[in-house]
Amino acid sequence: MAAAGRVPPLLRYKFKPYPLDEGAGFDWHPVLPVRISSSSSPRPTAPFEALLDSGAAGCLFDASLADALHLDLTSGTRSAAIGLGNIRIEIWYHSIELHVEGVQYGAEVAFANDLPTAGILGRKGFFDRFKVTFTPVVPLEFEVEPSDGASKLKFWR
Amino acid sequence: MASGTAARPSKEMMGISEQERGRIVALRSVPAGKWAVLSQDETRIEAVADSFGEAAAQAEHLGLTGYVILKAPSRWLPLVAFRPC
Repeated sequence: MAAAGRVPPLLRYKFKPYPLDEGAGFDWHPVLPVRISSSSSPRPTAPFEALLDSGAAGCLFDASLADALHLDLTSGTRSAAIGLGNIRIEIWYHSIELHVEGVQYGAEVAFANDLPTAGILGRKGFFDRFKVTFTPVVPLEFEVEPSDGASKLKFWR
Repeated sequence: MASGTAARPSKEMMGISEQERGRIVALRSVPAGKWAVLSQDETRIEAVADSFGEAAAQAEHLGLTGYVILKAPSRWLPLVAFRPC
């Protein structure tokens, strides 16, 4: 783990293709490989793809990831969230560590059962930590760099 | 173990790389709601499991490196945002 204060270079990624239902082709998503850990499970998880979603209030992960961290899902702070389809879901907040491409930091994130994806990186816990620049046309890239809050982060490479 | 094989490109997939095409085909092969271990080159599904923990354990058991884990939705549809309520 590198010393705190070492700012990693700006990172550039390509959008990743995801299938849509048969006949509907595919779509491009901005995703990052993420690991998470917790005080009860300090070894970071295996990497999983999380969707960058600046429209999401915060970071939201599938409950299966809480299980992997040995977190008691419903012991967290209970709340609810709603999507554009007015579908309300129960969520539980837990404090964890996120490991995002060489940067490790603590954040309060939500977990919920039966999400359609492993996780979403939203405003609180991700976009308040990184400056992200999307280029949603060819070459379909996005750039990620720590924001002004970088001094609060721990860099490990 | 499951595997996705890149097929002859359809019109919808023209203009994307072989690797990207392989990724799409591979992801389509993952059963709904399952967790999949995607190979380092993103063209093969190395393992499928009911939970993230099982998928990670399978990846470790297989000695994989450079992989990433994904969850397949019940249907492959565009995703939208959430907000607290």
